[in-house]
Amino acid sequence: MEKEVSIPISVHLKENIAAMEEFFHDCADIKKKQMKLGKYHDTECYLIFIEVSLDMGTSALSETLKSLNRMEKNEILSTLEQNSLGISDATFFDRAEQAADGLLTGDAILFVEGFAKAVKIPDSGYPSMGISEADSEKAIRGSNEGFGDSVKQNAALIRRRLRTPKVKVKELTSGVRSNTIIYIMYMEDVVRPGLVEKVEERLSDYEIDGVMDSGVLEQLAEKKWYSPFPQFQTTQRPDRASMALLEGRVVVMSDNSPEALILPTDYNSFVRTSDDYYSRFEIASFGRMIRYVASFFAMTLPGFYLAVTNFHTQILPTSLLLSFAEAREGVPFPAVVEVMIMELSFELLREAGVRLPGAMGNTIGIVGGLIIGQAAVEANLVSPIVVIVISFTALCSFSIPNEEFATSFRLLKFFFIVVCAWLGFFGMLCGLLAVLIHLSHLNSFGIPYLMPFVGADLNDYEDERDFLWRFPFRKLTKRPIYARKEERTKLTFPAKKNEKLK
Amino acid sequence: MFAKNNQISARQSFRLLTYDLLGVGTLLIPTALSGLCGPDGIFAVFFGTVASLLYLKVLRSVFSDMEGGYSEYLTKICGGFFGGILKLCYGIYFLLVSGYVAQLFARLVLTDLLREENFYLILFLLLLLTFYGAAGGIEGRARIYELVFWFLMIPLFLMLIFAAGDADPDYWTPAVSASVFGVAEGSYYVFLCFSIIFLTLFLKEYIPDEKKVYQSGKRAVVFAGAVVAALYLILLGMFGNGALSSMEFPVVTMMSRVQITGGFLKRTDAFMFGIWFFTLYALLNSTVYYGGTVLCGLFGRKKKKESLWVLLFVLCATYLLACVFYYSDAACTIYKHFLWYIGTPFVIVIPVLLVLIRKWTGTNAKSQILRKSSHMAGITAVLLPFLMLSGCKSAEIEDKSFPVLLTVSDTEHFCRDWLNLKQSGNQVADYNHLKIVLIEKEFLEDEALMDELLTVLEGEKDVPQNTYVLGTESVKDIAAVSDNLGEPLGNYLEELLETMPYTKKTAYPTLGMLYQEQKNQMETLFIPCVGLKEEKPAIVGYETWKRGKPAGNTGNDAAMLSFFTANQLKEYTLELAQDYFVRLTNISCKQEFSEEIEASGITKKRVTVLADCEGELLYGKGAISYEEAKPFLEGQMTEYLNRTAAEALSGGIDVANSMKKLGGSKREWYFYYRDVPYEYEEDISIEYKVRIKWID
Repeated sequence: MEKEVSIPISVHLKENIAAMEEFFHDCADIKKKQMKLGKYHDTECYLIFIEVSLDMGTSALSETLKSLNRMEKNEILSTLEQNSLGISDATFFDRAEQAADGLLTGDAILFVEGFAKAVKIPDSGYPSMGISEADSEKAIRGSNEGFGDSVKQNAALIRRRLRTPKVKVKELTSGVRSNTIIYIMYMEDVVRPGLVEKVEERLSDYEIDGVMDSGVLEQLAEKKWYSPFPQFQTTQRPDRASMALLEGRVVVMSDNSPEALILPTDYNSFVRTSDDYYSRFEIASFGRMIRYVASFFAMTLPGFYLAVTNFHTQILPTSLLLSFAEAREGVPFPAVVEVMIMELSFELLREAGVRLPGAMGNTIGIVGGLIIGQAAVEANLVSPIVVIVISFTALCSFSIPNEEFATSFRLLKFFFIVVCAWLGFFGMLCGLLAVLIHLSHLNSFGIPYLMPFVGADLNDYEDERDFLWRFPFRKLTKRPIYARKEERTKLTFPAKKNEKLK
Repeated sequence: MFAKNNQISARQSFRLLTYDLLGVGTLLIPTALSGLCGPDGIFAVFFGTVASLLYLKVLRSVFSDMEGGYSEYLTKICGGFFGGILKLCYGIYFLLVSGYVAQLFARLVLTDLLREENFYLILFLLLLLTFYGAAGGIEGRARIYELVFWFLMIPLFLMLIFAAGDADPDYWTPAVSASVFGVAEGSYYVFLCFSIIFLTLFLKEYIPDEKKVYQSGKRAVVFAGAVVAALYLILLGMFGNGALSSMEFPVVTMMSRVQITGGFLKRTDAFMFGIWFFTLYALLNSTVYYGGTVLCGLFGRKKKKESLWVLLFVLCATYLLACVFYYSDAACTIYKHFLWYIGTPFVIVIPVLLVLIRKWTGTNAKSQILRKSSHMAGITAVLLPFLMLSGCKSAEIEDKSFPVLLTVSDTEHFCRDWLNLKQSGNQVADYNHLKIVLIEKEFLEDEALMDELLTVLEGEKDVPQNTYVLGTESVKDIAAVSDNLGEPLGNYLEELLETMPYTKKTAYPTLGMLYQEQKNQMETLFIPCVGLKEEKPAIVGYETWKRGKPAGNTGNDAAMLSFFTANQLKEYTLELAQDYFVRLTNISCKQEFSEEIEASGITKKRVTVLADCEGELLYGKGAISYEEAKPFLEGQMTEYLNRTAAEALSGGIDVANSMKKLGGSKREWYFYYRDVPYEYEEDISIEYKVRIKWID
């Protein structure tokens, strides 16, 4: 938990600047301007604000600065003393931490040499107009705001959720020709020591001509580039990114990209959704278990169907098996070709649906799914049971919340189709083992990819409260393994403690 | 951070060791123990487990003294030369074990999962996976088992619970009947399988806290011991000692026989194979990994690339050894002797010696070419299976037929039908869904023909062991009415047996029970015979199958009495006197054995069946009142049962199946009749005592 700091505002501007720098060092999204105001430009002042929250055109701040510029030094001080700025909701603070909090509400803070208070001048505040909804990662409950293309705006969206000076932003540029701004955001006191430096190192490990999206950074910074599994988590949701910061993770954002990268990450993080934490624990746990099962079936179901029908018919009840056989009567292709055709058709439909404009994309889904599917069955090109298997597999893959993660399962599905068609259930076991070995070798910035299925003891099994199931919120008192060890407590009940002491 | 610190947790160590112990342990121990000490095998499991725990204590005193790896410790204590020799011996031990395990693994796949696949290909794929797994180091290996542990253990426990219901406690007897030497041999066998616990010596390098290493080893041994003990009791109760000792992988056979309630899955053996897939893989991976580690230590190879080449060498050697073991029974025998007389003593003696030495002495103490070659090796590894690809042996589902009924009238007819079914037209017969084997009486009563038939069917792994066996006068007559049934004859007959209102379905013999009885030779089974009633098949009589051999036909009464005595009847309806019909339910029979010296001086052996049940007078319009009728009917009932039992006994049929219970209830009889079983029915008399609790 954060410690209380109390610094009084001084009449000396330098002391106030030092105090603000103490709070907001390494905050690239916060602008700090030293200016000279007054008729004779002899009054030193210091303006601090969140970059995207100011409108320098016709706002109150702009008008205030203009009017102060027309006054003499003494006049400025007396105007401030008497609160005769002409702004109804200007607020004066005696202490630096109040000023810092005031800044984080999205307004500007003005310090003037010789004046022992900080003035909060209201402005347009955090961006809200023009913020679109997230395209992916839809949540039933919670904010549906999504990141935009501007990295500054995106940082402000996170700041709006985490109004603490402990949120730090480091700015880098990447791309020799594009000079794209990259923001590395983290919670100063929670992030594991050395992680930010490691991320910086990884991001400046290469030279590239241009970075057009965070996806480029992701691919260049991943260590096991050949793995189908993403080692950086992506999100379009500011609440998700904020949650990650609270967990001690680092968020990397690139200008011109609505996707933020979260790291370190693991399998479990990809299956969690933000509304898992907004819903009751029973519902959240149920949803999560379904997603885990879905991720397994999204990868293995078509292969499993082939293994059972071609090799291990003893598994199914006779009546079901006979209906499978009957459904396959007259289909000219072997089952593996049939499954492949259906899977590729499905991928084609998906691709077409994504590329076409919104309404047409939906049409493609209906035309493909209903009309072509029905026609293919009637023409005996595919059997109805395969249509069911492929549809169920598709449903499973859609229920995986992260698109990159879902894609890795969609790719592995083809691997499983091949090994199962070749070696039946043995092939499937071999495939599963190979995937497991691969996952067990993967890690993301020092965190095993399979946390907390493995290595849960590293965090005293606390992470097991939030994996296949989600414990009630009041039991989730600790931060996950990503956070530094001494800052793992995230929830306490002081009232209960006091009662016990009494 | 954590991911690459070359350390594993105590939980990972426990799961790793448990997997190492369970794979071979569950596959091989039951068969071996059954042969060595029969029902007393359970004691052997106990003693073997205790011996392993004691051995672990010795290991603890070694690894508590270690600072680095075991390899370095050997050099430190024994010096470079002798330490090198010991490392070489460990290397050879690991190579041999990995070769044998790889062979066992591939053979298991071929026997129970992919019958027509190529051995070399299966072996190659397994070793490829082993290489991939071992190359990731200890952390990668440990994570896999930590993850899959409960995903595999929970299904295993569930299956054991399901299977426990099929276990017959009579087969657990006679207890304490094996020789001390037999139990000692069995215990040593268990210890031999569990001696792989010496891997804790190698794990110490990755878990600095010796207490954690010891605790994880101890928990693994106890866990594996408990699982093996439970499994042994279930397998023994399910198959009987004779059958169990002749089975290759009884635990896999058990999985094929267990029926899961709900009927969603017909058989689960393919699924459950996953457990042995992962456990055997764990052991293979461990032996290959540590084999590589020891050889790296021997040759002073410490760089990662060098150790990968050593690993590759170990895998090649494993491949060769596995092929040798697969094709040469003599090599397998030599290996078993090696393990029995040299390998296991070696892994026991060395730690003891190290402890003693410590006490006595008191000391405390080419890159571009390489890359190209590794690329070539990788490409070859991918291409090789395709070069060896023997073609996809599977058949499309619509190209298969799924016979549910197999009829047998004579050998020639059976062979012809069998072959016709195996390849009828363009379709391949898949016997996995066979429900009924219908055999003509003449054939059924011929011992030689039945032996031949059962041998053929037992060899066909497709044929389910829970297929019911039925007899009939004429297969043709029954087959002739099949068109009128509205469903395949096999399904109709299966339903007929499973929906009998008065008999539990477990009463009817299956192929598995016949195979078993051929080996156990303990029981009398009653094979239902079907005939036609109102143009539909119905049970009209029973053929007896006594101690694995046909014993002629018998009437309904004897069969029903046998089912009654074995508590296999749901209800039993009898006409006990003229117009007095009684229905008995909640039947519970117990048997007692006693001897009486008759007046003539001859000792008569008596089997008393105490039957408790609830009775209900269904219909009675006799001369006496209901209350008066009760004791009368009880007397009638007792008289009827005794008469039926005596009649059957005079024909050599013991309806009480009492010989099976001798081991638990009358040991001296058991040991006597074990050698002269044919005298048993001549010597005994059966007496029923019935107590009916009347329901108004």
